[in-house]
Amino acid sequence: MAKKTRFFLINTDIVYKNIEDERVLFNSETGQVTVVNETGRFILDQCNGKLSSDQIIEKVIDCYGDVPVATIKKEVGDFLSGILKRKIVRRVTA
Amino acid sequence: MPENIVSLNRKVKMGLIKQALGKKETIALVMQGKSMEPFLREGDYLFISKCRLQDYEFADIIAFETNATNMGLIVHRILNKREDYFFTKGDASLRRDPPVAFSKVLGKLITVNRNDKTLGVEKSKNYIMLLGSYLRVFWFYRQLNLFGRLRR
Repeated sequence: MAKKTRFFLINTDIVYKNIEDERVLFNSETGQVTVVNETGRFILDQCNGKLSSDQIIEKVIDCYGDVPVATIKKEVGDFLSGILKRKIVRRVTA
Repeated sequence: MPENIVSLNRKVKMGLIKQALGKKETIALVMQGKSMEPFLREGDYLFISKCRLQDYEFADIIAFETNATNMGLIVHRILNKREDYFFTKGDASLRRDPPVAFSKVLGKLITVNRNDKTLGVEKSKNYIMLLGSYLRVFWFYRQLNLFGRLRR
């Protein structure tokens, strides 16, 4: 059986405000607030339900070409697991 | 550790809460401070729901916007309601809060979650109502000076 690709989508419980380069996210389901930096904001913008983690990593590599690919893969992977754990995003299948 | 909404700038915080309440009927907030102890403790998850003016009554716990503290947001109990103003106080506070206009009220506490357990809000409300009734009876007898007469 073919493995289904899973995409990342921002949770509907999330409201946010951009302050300078950062984004403040409030999860109205858990009451938690998360502040992400410019890169985090860029990654969150990619969580539109159309991109998988590999595709998001590719986009980050395109944007931050001067950073080693292994570092980007690890950091973006950690970031995605972090925001999944905090219920900021959820996984959806196509 | 997740950041709590009270650590944010007041304007940003209130903006986010109002935005969330515009999208959903009920939102979660994390309790900070000790003014509502013993019923509410720091770190409790409070589920706040938007209500109509007529749905708020004595002993309800409400969340409201304030300029009185740096927090910008207070969760206290209604002691009295007059037209569209509320008179509130924290269970553990000695002083009453200044009157709160309905326009400043974000919502009413409907559920509390502590260590993955749901606490009944109605139970605490009933205790307060019972205590209120006793105090009213005591006040009534005191006005009549019945205690003094009975002692004689």
